[in-house]
Amino acid sequence: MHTLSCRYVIVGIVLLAFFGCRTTYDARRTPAEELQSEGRIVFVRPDRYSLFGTRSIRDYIEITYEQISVNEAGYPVLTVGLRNRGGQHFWDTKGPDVQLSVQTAFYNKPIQPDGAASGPALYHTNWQTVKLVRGQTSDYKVACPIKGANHYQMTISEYLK
Amino acid sequence: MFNKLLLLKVAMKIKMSVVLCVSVGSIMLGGCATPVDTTPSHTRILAPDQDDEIAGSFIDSSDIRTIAQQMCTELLTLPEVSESPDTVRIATEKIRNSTRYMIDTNLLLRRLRLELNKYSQGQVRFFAQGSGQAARTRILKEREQTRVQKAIDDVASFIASSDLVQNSEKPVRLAVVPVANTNLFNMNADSFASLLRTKIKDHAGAKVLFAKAGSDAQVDYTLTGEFFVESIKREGVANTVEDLKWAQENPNKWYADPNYSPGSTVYGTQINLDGSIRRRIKVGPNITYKLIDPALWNSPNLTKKFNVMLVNNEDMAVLEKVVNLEEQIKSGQERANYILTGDIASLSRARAGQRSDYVLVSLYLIDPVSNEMLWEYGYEVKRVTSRSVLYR
Repeated sequence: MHTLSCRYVIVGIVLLAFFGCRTTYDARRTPAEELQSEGRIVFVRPDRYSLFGTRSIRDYIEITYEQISVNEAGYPVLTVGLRNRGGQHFWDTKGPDVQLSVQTAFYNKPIQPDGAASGPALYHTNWQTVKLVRGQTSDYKVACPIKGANHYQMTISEYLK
Repeated sequence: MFNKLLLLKVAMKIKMSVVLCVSVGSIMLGGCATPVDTTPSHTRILAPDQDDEIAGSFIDSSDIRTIAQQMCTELLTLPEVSESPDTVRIATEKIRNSTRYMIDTNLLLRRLRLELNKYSQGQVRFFAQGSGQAARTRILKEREQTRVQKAIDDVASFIASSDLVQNSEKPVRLAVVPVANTNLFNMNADSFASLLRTKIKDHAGAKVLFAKAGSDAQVDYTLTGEFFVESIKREGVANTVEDLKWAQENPNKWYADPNYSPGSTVYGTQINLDGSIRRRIKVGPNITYKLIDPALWNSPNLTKKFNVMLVNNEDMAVLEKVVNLEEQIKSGQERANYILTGDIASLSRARAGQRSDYVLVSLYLIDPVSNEMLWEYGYEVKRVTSRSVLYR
């Protein structure tokens, strides 16, 4: 009985050892539902969380408008109104100034229904800094030097550090 | 006894369980081990737009990238660019830095060029100002050598096929006289004359006879010519006689080249125009004079031509032909449609360990003919830092 249990233990250990010996693992694919639910303007999750309060950009920034147009030379121009609405909670003892990093990707196909899975962007801007003092609305404008890339997704993050 | 046996069994079971747990735990933890650290020591790789946390109140890499990105589309949108049927060529001028910071202002132009060359699809082109020019000069000079051979061949063919030679009943007798202004090219005139003579003989055959060099034989025509440049300024040194005369009249504009062989020189004494200094000078045939004024150096960068002449016994040129021997190496900027330049200015303040800078970057496009600014772009940023670094 004792010998049998020892054998089982040894076999189990050997099997477990083989479990840890794979060289590669399949990458996780972003679920299609997740991509489909993304809009044209998205906020990145905060870099860290606090026990009290929130660092979520959505709590401080709101979008007042978004417009996509084509200029006289045929290049798409995106203008988005970004407003710093100040602190909205009792723990916000003052309305903070906010510094954002914004990157825009331009596509030649609509973001929906496939979301970012529709393919690679034709053009990416760099991460541009937008500074908003309390109550300020910035008419953030970005143009794309490729004609026909009239669809976009704008990603807004706190200032990249 | 029975209790002892029981206790022993329990102890064995516990022991086995512990061993099993430890083994399994080790294996599981071994599978969770953190991978080998591949980051360079004391170094973090950042995205180009990322803040490096070194602080400073001047512009950063993300500002330069933002300026390039915004300017690229604005430039491509200009009617002068978007509606131009031809490629728009832009010459750049160094951006002026009016701030107290040391910055390579060409970084901005380079980043903008990257964007435009990538996205303009050939609509906008820049000149290689300062880049690859040494290799370019070498390539063009080597191509010229091939052209010289062809030019000599063309001249020889022209002479051999002329009516003077073809319609003559007897072989045409020619004497070769050294060509003028060979010092302009720093060229061996004897070699040039020999090459030309050989080619003429190749083309004309028995229809042409050459007199021996230096002989007094009766000839029908003299083969001569002169080199000249396409310029109305005095370029290089004309010939030995004029060299000496000019050298004597302009003693503060030349000095002897120390690299020549002294065997063929003649020494003399030069008194300066102000009479203050006497110095011994070296003059002689085929001497290269290095001139202090670079505009008068030998072999100036100009288009050089050769005018070949057949001169009759009345000293009249009966046949002439001009050929290009060397083309001026141009920068190409004569074809520039616009000039792109700008300046960076800042307003700086400091107090109690804090420093702030308001920076304004302006770039503009200038029409070189009308001298008008037809477009201007501005980028402004203000930063304050409590880390007071000398150059940021």
